Amino acid sequence: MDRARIEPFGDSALLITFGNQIDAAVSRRVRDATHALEQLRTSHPDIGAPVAAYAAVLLPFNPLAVGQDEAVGLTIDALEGAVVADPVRETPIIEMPTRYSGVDGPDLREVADAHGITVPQAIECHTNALYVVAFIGFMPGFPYMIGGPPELDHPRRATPRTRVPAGSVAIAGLQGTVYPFATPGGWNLIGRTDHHMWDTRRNPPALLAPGSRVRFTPAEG
Amino acid sequence: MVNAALEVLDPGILSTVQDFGRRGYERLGVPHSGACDRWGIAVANVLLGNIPSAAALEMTLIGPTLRARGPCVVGLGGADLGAVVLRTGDRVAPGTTHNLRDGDVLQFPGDSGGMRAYLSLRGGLDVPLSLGSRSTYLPAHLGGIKGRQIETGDVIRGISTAHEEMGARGWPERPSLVSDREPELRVVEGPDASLLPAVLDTLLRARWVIGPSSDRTGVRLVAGDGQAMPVHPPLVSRPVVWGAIQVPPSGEPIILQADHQTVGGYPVPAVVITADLPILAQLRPGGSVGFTLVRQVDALAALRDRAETFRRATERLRRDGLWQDLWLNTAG
Repeated sequence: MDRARIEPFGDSALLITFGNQIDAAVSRRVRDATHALEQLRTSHPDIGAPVAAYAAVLLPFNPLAVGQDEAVGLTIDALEGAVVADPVRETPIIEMPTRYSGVDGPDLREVADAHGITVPQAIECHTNALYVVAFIGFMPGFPYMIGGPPELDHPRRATPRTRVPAGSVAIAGLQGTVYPFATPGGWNLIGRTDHHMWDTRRNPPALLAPGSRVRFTPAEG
Repeated sequence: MVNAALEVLDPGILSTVQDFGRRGYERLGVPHSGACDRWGIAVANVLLGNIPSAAALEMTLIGPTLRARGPCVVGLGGADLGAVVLRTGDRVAPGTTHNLRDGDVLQFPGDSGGMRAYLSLRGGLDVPLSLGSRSTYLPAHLGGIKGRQIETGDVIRGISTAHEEMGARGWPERPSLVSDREPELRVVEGPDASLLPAVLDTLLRARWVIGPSSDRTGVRLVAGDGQAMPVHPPLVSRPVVWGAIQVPPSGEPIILQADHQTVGGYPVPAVVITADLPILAQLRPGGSVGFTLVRQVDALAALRDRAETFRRATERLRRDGLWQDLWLNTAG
């Protein structure tokens, strides 16, 4: 397996890169590494919480207290000790009831047409897919999920919408998401769910976490 | 005993409660937020004996009009937004404190060249903690006063119940790191510097104009006299830092600031050093900025120097000031 690349990102953080594409195996390495780097904080208060994305992890540190070389050394040690996640320990599948097409999913017909399938077929493809959350980013609680159906591999919209309603179920390439807030956005909207991705009365406030598995189901009625 | 309080008569353009931001929630997609200019907010706070990171009001370009409810001591830091007490006509400069009497109206008319100013009350501003911070993050309605900017009729309270007047105090250093001449930001090489030498070179050679859509998320640069930035397609989204200079396909760089998203997909040829982030915070739309490349060791030395300057100034303030009343503070 390739070694991770460790380099400074500014003067107060390290960027640890495991690959340069969206890939389930790389994403799993990122999750394991993030978990290992999380543990550093308990013994080193000047190391910050790691931030993960698809193929890289950021490790912030206080440069007035921790030298960059020291931070690199701690990172290497942590990565060597990283435990590979046990596949049987996978989380339960979270079901996401979704109202497809129409006003709730205005882009579904276009996506289906572009791939030569009917709207019901497109819905079936989406509900059959098992998505895995790679990381949370863009805005509070916004999941970047991988594992979308190849039949719906459709690029982002050329012109983003200025307002996407909260709860919109969306796809971009093989990625999937649910918008936690009304926001501008460029993904294709195919449906809508009533599940709240973000609720500060909940602990943690984000419904999903890296590694969460999600299956979309057609909403009743 | 009543807490010092200011009633908002007019909110100004954009004023929000900020502290040093929230840490550790980036993995849930929550930006750290907090004061864009940490030097400026720290000055406003230490003038009143608060910890540097206590919650204060961040005011942008044209600030609010505030009326004191009962006697009230304010501390100002950051840029000069022309603060004036209407009853007396007294100017309140950044880096000083002022004793307001009951009913006094304090106005921040702006137009003095500043971008962001900070107002603190003793103990810091009293708003609930949200995910470990009092900072406002507008897109998710998080923190501050109900997750929004201040509005007419809001009452902003200090945490401390101390109400005695304070002897005048002056910050012995600059209240803001913004320079009135052409500002320069020092940068270190970013993760894509070696991949994109031409992009880094163009960034360093040109002087850039600050775009009108700059905000707490990022400072947007507009190319000056016709320079063309070589462009590069987006990368796979990865975590990004405050100060990262992203170059999107438009070729117009965006420098990430306090409210920046936790991940980004544009190439980053350079990153503003931490010591110069308070200067970034004070760049005004329409103004210009240039970049100087420094080494990592220079970045660290500059940060140590800032920390040392702040520490010495705080000590002098403590020596010169009348501090007995301040130890009552319970700032958290």
